[in-house]
Amino acid sequence: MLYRRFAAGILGVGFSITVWQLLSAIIGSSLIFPGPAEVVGSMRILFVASSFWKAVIGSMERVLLSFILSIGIGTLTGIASGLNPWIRDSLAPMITTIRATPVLALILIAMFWLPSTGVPIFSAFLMAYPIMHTSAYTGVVMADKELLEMASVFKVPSNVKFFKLRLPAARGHFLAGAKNALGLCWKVVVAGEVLSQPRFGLGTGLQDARLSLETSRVLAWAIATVFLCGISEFALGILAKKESDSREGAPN
Amino acid sequence: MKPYELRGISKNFGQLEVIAEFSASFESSSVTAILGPSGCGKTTLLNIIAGILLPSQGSTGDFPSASFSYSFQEPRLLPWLSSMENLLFALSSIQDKKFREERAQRFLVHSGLDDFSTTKPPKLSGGMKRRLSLARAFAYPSEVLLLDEAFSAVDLKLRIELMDLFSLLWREEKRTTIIVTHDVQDALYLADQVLVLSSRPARLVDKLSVPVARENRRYGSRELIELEERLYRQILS
Amino acid sequence: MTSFRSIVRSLLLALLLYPTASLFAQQPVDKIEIAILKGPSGIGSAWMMASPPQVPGVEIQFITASGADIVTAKLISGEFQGGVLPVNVAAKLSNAGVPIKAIAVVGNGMVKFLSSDPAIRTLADIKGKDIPIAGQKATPDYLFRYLAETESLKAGVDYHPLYNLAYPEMAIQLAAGKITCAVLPEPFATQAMMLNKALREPFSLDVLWTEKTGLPSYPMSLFVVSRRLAEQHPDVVEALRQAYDVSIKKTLSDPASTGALAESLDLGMKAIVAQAAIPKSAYVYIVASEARSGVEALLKLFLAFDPQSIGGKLPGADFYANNR
Repeated sequence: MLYRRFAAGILGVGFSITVWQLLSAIIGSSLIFPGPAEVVGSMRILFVASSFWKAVIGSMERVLLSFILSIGIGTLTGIASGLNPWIRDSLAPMITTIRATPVLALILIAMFWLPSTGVPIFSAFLMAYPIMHTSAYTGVVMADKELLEMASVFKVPSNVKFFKLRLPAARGHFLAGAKNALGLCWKVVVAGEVLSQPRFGLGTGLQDARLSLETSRVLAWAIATVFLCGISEFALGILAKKESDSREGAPN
Repeated sequence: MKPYELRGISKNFGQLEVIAEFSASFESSSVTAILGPSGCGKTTLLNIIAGILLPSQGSTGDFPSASFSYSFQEPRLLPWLSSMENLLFALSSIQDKKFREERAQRFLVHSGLDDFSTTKPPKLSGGMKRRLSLARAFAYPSEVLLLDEAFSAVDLKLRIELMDLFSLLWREEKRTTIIVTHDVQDALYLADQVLVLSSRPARLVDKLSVPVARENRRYGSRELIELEERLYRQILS
Repeated sequence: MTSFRSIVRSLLLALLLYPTASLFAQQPVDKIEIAILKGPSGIGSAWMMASPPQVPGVEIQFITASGADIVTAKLISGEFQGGVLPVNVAAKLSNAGVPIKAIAVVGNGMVKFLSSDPAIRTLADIKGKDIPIAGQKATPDYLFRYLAETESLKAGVDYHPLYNLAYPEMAIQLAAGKITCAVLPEPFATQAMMLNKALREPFSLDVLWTEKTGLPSYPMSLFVVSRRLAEQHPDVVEALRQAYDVSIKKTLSDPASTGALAESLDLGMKAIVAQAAIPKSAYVYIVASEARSGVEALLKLFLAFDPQSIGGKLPGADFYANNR
């Protein structure tokens, strides 16, 4: 019942806003924790500035680029690792290292070598890449054992097995990984922008508001970021569903 | 053609002995039913015959060089391919494209699924999926046909439909067939030879031939009542 | 399946080409980029930014940077040929072998001790209290600790320095009354005081410094250029010198216009705040050779507390550019 979901969602949001209002009243300082009304006011001022929208576009470009790069390269190396144990074992140390690196360390190091627009892209790509690699790898490797057995009894040639069995089977893992990676790209791009301050970016705006001690504006930028991240994940979900409806009927 | 032989097959998984000393011979173009309680190791035996598993001891005779079709206990269909595509998938080792397509089409029609040739498994009923799985096993031109509980877990009417389908399809090519089942009446309806296995570790406890010609058999008829009782006794002991 | 993959692949290609091209398009010949810090040190150079010195054959560009880390990073990588850095950072880089030369001190004593607690009237009154200090391991930290030690107050024993807050957060906590005293540099000190009228400066760290060292003030910001710039384009360096000097003089004489200019140049401060902070922010232009003794006096503090923080020694004589 779509109606119920919608209504319940609105209720939930309303409840959170009420809690927010209460908390800010308790804390009592709009510098430290402004209430919803104030933040909405800041948002209204923010959203009409052309610099805001330029920042939105700037960050979205960076997120898109790092996301597509991580999917492209991660899928390639993941599939290759799934098919060839030598490749898998030689890539493993690098992937583990990247996965274990704290985001901040990565951003700070990247700042030495890359221009301010490149730092967020590079950092986000590197953080999201192990996720896509692992998803693709798991998807290829974990294709249903029973289906693989069936294929081997019928002596299905390996290229057919790969394209018609392993690859479609990997779709579920791939999509889950992609959703994860997109969220991560948003977080890391904005974090990178806070530090490297490219001309137009959500993180740049966030830091700017912070340095001006305008907490309400900081929250406005933050909420805008959350919103955009949510919209792009939603768009990804729709894209995935459309592709699945048109080609396969794989149950997710 | 020489019969296929299994000699002294035994199989352990670590400490667990699943099959102990099994020997049997399978005439070519015959149908053999392997009867036994659930969990006794029948599927393991079939997998050894198919070459999916290796025996711990014993010889599988000429089986390794044979080509197999297998209809598994679960349908094992690729959910993202249509019925026709699923058949073609199994046939993809065959070079001749026309032959593949013609064969897939023929068995799809035989099993009454040609109206569903573009439908994908998630949209098929349980019975249709089983029929498709059976059609796939038949479509693939193998020397040996293996059926694992292919007729279980469905209601009686569907069961008889499937078994009749099997008989119909078998009449065309008469491949050496091994059917694993736990149902006595199924075994007597379909097989020329019935091998009875004990519970785990499985060994051969009885071997009998069914004297009535397959086309004259009626499911659950009283003619074979003696054989039936004999088999029931063995299974229930 | 193939069609989806190919769409994704071509998207990837297109998106790679577009920004990657711009990423690498940034190095035209003879373009000189000077970093200007957002904040008070940047304000002093506002007029210079507004009308960059014209030197034939080169294009001088001023880029605003939000923090010393970025300036550091890009000075090292060579993307910037000059910028303003805290004194200790400049010393450390020079000692680490980064080829930079100090041109002038462009900002003096900007660290303030703020309090809304009437009980604190002199430095000795901090005894037994928690003192939040912004700028750990930087000038505010060592300056304060040094001055406290001259009153026989040892950090951690006689008072408790707290380093958990960054500049903006500390200013906010002060302004909101959640903390009652703090050591904070400009412009955050002025910003906090504008938001909370109960805050005052009970004693001046500048005055105490002068009492203890005899020096008029301590340097905060150093304008440095890359050695390569100094060697290959001495004309540019000279032009910058002069423009900066003029800019600072104008800033001091006309805070109101400077404030407005600073806000329009996106230097991170509102005009009102900048205007109020200027008289308190000790903008100066002291050429390096003259500023050397003041610089070394400050750096000696660093050597006393944490020698490694500036690389273990004072920078050599060639760190300081010769003026004309």
